[in-house]
Amino acid sequence: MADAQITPEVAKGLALKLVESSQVQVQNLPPLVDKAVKAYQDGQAEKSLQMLAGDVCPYTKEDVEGVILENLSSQDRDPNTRKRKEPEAGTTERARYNKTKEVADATRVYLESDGQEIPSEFINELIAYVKHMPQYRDILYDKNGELTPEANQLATQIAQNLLRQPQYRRIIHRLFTERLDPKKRLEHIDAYEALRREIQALETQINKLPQEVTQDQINKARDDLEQARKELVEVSGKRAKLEILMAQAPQLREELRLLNAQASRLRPNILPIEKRIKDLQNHLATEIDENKKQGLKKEIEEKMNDPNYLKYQLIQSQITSIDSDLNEIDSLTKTVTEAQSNFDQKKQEYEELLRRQASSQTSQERARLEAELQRKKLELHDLEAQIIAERIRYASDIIAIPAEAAKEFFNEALGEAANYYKEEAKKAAEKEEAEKKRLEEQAIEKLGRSLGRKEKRKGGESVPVPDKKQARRFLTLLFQPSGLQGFINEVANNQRTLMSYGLTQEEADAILAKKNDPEFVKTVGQNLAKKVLCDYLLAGGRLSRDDIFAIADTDWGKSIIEDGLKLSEEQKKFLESQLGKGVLKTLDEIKGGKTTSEWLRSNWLKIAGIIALLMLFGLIGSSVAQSIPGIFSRG
Amino acid sequence: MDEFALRLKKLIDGLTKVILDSLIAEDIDQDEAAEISRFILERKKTITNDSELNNFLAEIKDRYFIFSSFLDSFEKESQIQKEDAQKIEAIKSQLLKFSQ
Repeated sequence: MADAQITPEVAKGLALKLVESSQVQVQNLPPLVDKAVKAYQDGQAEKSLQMLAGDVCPYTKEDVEGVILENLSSQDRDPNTRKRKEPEAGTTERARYNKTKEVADATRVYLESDGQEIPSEFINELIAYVKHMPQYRDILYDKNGELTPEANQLATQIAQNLLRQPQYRRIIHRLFTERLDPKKRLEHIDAYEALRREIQALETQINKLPQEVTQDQINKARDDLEQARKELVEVSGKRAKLEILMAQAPQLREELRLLNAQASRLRPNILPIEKRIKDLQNHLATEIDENKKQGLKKEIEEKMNDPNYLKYQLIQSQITSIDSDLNEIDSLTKTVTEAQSNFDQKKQEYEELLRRQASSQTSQERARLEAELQRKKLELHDLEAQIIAERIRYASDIIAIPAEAAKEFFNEALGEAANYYKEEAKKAAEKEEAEKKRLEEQAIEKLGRSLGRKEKRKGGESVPVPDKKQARRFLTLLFQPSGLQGFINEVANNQRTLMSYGLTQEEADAILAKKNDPEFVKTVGQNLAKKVLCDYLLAGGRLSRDDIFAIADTDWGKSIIEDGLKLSEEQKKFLESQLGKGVLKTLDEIKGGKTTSEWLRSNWLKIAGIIALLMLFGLIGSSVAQSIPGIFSRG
Repeated sequence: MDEFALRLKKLIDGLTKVILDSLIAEDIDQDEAAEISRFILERKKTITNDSELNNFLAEIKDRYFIFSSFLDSFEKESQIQKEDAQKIEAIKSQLLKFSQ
């Protein structure tokens, strides 16, 4: 394959890659790290370190206000700024928004001033929390559970002390950085807004569909049509008259034209007559003299009877009559036309409604869309409830920053103290436990040396030697139904009994404290019982058939016999190895100067008992027993 | 800005980058980054000369593993610069003698 050509574009890409590699690569980073990276990339390495160290507030006032507005307002966005509008005044949402903004800004001021400036909104939240802290209950409240007169002052002092703690400030810095991250959004807000847009689109789609025809609409249209039909019927008489008049109309208009022409011709002669008549009438109205009045009346009459005047009056009367007929044509035309038009319109409307009703396609589409709209509205309702809950939670998270930081601070501080005391208590308990254990072991060891034994003085020295009678007494106890517990109860009856076996008071107490512990009874009781059995056998005690069966009947018996025989065997071997060496004078005395063989033979019963026990419990076979010389025969 | 101040600034820039890279690579968490940043800022106030700066380098290298590679390079580079400066001075001195 040929090498890729290094074109100018490739060279540019390579160069850019080289330059970029020295930069810190930005990915989806936690808000604080993101801000620190940006500060570093802006050449402000020290500020970046300060941000990471928690010395500098990473967000500006605008950042803080922006994220609170975005997350706590349910209002739509301003079309120009694209920011949400503030919540409506006087609402719960507005009160929550205001409070959150106050606390957040106060916290920001506290952080930005490196703890030097403490706004009242900030410390007040902390004081309120301090007053509820159980740690300060005793000093802030009286016996009746009421705040003392000094409580406010004390709580303020405590809050001020807290605010001076670098660790408290660091916790505030961390919580503030996490919760006021400008990119932080409510969990369901995207889904909520997407759903709102879907609903708006659906509503538009539904509005664009032709209106659905209801039966009411059809009924009304039918009634309107019926009314229009009646009105049309009502004007049917007028229609006949109109038709007659319309037929006469051309003639009437011709007559009118001729009459108007005649009237025009006569008018020059008539006007002086009319003027004269009017003057005479005016004169008559004011004339008192009867003779003159009669004269005036006579002249008026003469004028009115003038042939031209009379003709003119007749023409005028005919003109008026024709005008009236023509006017009626207009009026009737209007009435009839309106009634017809109204009827036609109502008929068309009615028929259109019937047609739309007949076509069910629109209705089905509308029904489908409306069902979808309804479903989405319900979904929106649920999401709205979630969003409100998230807003409340978000506001609480911010308002609670001072208190939560205090809680965390105290938990850390108290946690350290608690761990210290816990460790100390553990050490003390371990020490106490070790001491108890030591006493217990010491006591058990002493009991092991004393039980079933008696003191024998030899050469000024007191030596415990196995005592058959004593051992038998304990064995009898062990064979009782109460078994190990009865045995332990007898041995550890009380302090005095235990002290009689050579135990100190503390050792006796250690045993008494454990004597009812089943585990103790089982392990210690069993070990002591083994020793007793061993001593009994060593002291020349024999186990009768009943004894063997009694042991076999108990749970612990098998183990005791097994271990007891093993121990006895070990002791015997040890003693034998020491015989004749003058080491164990006691056993030499027991043997009474006899040889080992003689001694064994003289104690055959004891040995036979042991072998029988072993066989009884299947620990050895009879062939093994036969191979032991002189066991079953008297020598 | 004098040579020492420049060196210190370069060091702080480099340390900051190492912290940010380590945070992004999740070699350290934010609490550790805060502790390291506080340490650097506190110690920076006390560094006034090369000797203190070298002590600081040794201390921070010993304390925080993330800086070892960067500090090795930084020290090496400083050493080279120092040697270069000495060589230039020697050449200058020889030239001066030669001209005299």
